[in-house]
Amino acid sequence: MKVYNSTGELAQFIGDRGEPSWFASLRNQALEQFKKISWPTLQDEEWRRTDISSFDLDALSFSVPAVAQPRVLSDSDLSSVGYAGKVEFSNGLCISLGLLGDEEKSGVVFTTLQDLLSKDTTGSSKVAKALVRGFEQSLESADNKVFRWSLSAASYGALVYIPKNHRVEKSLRITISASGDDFVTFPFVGVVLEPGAQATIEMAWEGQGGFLVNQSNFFSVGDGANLSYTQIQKTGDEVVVFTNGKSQVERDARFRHFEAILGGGFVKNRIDSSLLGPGSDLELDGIYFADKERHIDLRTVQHHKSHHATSNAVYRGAVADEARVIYQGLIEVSPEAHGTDAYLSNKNLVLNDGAKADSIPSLQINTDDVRCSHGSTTGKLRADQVFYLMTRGYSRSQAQETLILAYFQEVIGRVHESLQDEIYSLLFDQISGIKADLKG
Amino acid sequence: MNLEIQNLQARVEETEILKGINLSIKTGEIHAIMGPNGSGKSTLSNVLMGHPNYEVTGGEVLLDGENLLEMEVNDRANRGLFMAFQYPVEIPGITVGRFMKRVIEIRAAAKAELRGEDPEMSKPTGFVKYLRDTMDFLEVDQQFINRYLNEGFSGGEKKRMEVLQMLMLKPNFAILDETDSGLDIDALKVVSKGVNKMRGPEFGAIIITHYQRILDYIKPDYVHILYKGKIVTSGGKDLVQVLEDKGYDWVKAQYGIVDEEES
Repeated sequence: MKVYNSTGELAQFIGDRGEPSWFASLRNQALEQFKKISWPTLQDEEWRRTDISSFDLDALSFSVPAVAQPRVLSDSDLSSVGYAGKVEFSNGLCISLGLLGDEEKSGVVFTTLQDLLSKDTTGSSKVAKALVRGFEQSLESADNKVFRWSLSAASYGALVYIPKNHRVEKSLRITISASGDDFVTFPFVGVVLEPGAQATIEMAWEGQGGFLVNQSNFFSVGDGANLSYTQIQKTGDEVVVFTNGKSQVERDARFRHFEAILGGGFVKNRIDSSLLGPGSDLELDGIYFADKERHIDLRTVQHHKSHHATSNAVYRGAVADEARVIYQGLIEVSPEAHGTDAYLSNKNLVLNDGAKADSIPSLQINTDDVRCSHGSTTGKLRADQVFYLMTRGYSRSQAQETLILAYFQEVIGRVHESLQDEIYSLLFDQISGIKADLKG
Repeated sequence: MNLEIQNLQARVEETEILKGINLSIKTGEIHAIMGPNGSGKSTLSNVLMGHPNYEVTGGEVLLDGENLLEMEVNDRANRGLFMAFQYPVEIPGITVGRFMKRVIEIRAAAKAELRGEDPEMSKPTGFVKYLRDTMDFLEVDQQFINRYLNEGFSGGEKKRMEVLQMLMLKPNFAILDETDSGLDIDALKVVSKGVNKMRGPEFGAIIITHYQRILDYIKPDYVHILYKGKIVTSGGKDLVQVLEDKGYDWVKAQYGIVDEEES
């Protein structure tokens, strides 16, 4: 395993990797961009409520694990867990990987970044070309140093490519985990759906320790394609997470992005989505819960660049103890995007006086003939509901826990069915941890 | 079982509402408490159930000799006290089916614990059939099982939902807080049918009402008239007719009640 001790060694890291030039040049572009700006501060609007000055980001080490062959998952391995494909990374190393044989024959690619780079030295495959496009578009939208950092250093991750008009019925599962202290890890998820394709992807983050995750995701949803992506954050309270996602949704395509932030001690995520064709349909939903001294800051961007597209963002969170949650939602409508229909809604449940929730929805509308609206509410648990349940025999904590779950129910109902139970039980675990301290 | 209310006094914020209520109820008995608006009817229900907005300033309430007023709301419920709300709350996100199942599970566990048994071992059986049968009995559409509790329900549907819960929980004492208000005659009959089904040696009820109408369908054993926070007279069911004929003004004249100056 090779260790690099600071951001100052990024150039050396890129040089050491021996990657094909078509990809190494992308990294170098990202590195150049990275060097040009300084870390976000409280003066940057998006980072106004998330102070990262206490992290010495430049001094964090990162490493490249020795390459090992992942365990290959067979069709029967995958069938037993109900997935079309599954990949698992642990501390940067791919430990298992598999895709149903039929899907592979249909032209589906489900692989790792390293695998692609070792096989495609000229960058001529469809997947490589899609990756280049995705990387370039991500870099274009990477207006902060953290995002540029992740692009220059992205060292492992999953790539998904679904060919034209092919539908993958079962889910593809990506699990990423890490353990240990005082390092940064750079996963990458790239998803490309050709026109008319369909896929459902689950990504779960697990692990414990004082490490930092700096992840970038890219989604390209071709004409008439349909992508559902869900990310579940379930790491421990010490973990710091930055995620920057970029998506492009073409004509008549549908993209559904759901994030369940039910872990991590300090989280700053962004999903920036562009509607590029008429009839495109975007759904950005999420739930989040923070207790103790956790901090969660989530941003969504619904950028309407084409006429007659639809988008919707529904985020719902709860906060307890001394924790703080922030949701920033932007609907941006370009001058040519007439006939836009966009909505965004955010609700926060503040469970005690020391906890804090900020909701910052905003609209930038540069054309007429649009329907755009947003709504946000922040409230407490209702005492009359707690009393009602207690008259039916619920203890105070059972009543509170039930009402918190009920509050999330509507949004959990928007998650892909296969994940509802997983998210529900994760949420239940989180709430069970804090219920005793709640105030009625 | 016995519910003994002795010289009960209570207030909301700074306003004294109950000014010394005395009432003794045994299972097997149906008591009606009648009174005009502002007499303290709903305060009495809420105080008995333990609503946090009401402060007891004097007196006591004993449930089989135990101090009810010191019990948590859920302990009162699990020892057999039930209240049908005048205005049941809506709880989006919890379906009626899921709610009823949980209520029954919690009750079974609490009862096991009171008996000194392992609450984990007290899984109720036959729940779904019993719920469906009870819904049929109360003429509640089975579709309600999948609806969120009380969300968008009409007044009558909410009241039926309260009676449904009472039939499912089988309390020893039920307080029906103006369950008849806002009901049409069909709904009133259904609600009354539910209460009458509970009648028996193990069940007592306090029916709180402004009007005599519900008492045509649920015949009370005792009738009490509440006025300005006190029970001014009690009697048998004949008292209902007297009140119906003569009105609350008669009560005032009869018992020498003087209206306070409006301030």
